[in-house]
Amino acid sequence: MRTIQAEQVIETVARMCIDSNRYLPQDVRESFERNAAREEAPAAREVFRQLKENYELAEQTGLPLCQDTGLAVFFVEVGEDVRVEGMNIRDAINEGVRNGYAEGFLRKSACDPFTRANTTDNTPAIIHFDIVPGDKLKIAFMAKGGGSENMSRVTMLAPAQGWPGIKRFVLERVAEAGPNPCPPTIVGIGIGGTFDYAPILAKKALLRKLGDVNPDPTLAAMESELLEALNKLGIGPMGLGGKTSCLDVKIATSPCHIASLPLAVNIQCHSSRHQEVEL
Amino acid sequence: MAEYNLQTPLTDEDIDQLRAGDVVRLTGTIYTARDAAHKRLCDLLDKGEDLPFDLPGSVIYYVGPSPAPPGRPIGAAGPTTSYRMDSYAPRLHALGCKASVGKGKRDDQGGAQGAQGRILRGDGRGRGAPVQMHHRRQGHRI
Repeated sequence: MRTIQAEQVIETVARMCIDSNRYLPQDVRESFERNAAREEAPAAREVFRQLKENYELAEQTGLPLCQDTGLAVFFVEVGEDVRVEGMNIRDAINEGVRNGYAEGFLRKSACDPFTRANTTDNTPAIIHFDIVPGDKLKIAFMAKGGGSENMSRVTMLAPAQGWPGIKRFVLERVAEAGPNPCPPTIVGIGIGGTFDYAPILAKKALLRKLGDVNPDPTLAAMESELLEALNKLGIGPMGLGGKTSCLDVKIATSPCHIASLPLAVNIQCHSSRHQEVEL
Repeated sequence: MAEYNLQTPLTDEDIDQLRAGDVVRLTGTIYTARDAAHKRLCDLLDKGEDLPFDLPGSVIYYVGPSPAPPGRPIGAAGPTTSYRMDSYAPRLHALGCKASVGKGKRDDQGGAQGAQGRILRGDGRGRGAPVQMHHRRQGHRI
């Protein structure tokens, strides 16, 4: 049984919170560049210019990419042959979030749903654990902003609605969201599972690199078909019109009940801040 | 896509020249308030009390900045979703507030705001978000 000190988990998580909010991932930068080159409308080109200026400023000043530094969302894979010593792993992750959000001068956005009283340290983090073979601890972090999360939806389709029904729901949802989720967005889609599992699939799909190709050829074709259709909506960067409404579409699936076709659409803003570390 | 440099407080003339899609740079005092602050403003109005600032000509920026690191006046600041202020905004615009800075759509109450003036969308400099300007004048909605 391999042992990892809780202190290492805490420090790693704190660093991930700070760095993710400060440095936009390379794949997102490249996606901006690819799409900006295709835009003709002055407003769309100007927004892309500002998005680039913004991530360069964040890097130079150490200020966060966006004032909404998100709820801290984690996907954690715990190897069967590894244990964390000194603290419960959930507590260690929350301690890392607490430290990272304080040291990085990140905004604490977690609050009580009714009183709206801020928990003051951005905890509790939303943590999805998975037990996997091996002796590694893999931690993926995502800073999830409220504006794009508010535009996300889950629905239970009739199985007969199939792919046309899925495509229609996604298009309607993104069209209705319009400028609100800070486009160009990344659209995470979870198909199958149960009412609660589909959104988790959708959210996890957002961790994939922009521009990668789904290893399942059927899903890869669906992703390209949807991306093309979504970019014909004309929403454009920050909703000011243009060819780029979405940067990418990511689909994840799981078997579901014979009576159901669960579908979740999790929208991510253009400032897709996430990181993965293996301990 | 014309560009304008305006000084707050704003006048009717400042706003009359603007068209959707223009870039507007604002200089001067801008008040910041989100939904909770809007509720407090409306509660004060209900009680017939004075507001902590003058509404006529004012600009309200919908923003919740990140904490200021040492040596800086403010952390990251960008516009937040405007529709969260939709239930309060028409009342403030009716009392002379000239513009709000936010992002995204307004709800159907945008119609009510439109009835009092007009809604414009421009570019927020530095964060790529729309500036929405509401002008309190009948018949000038675009």
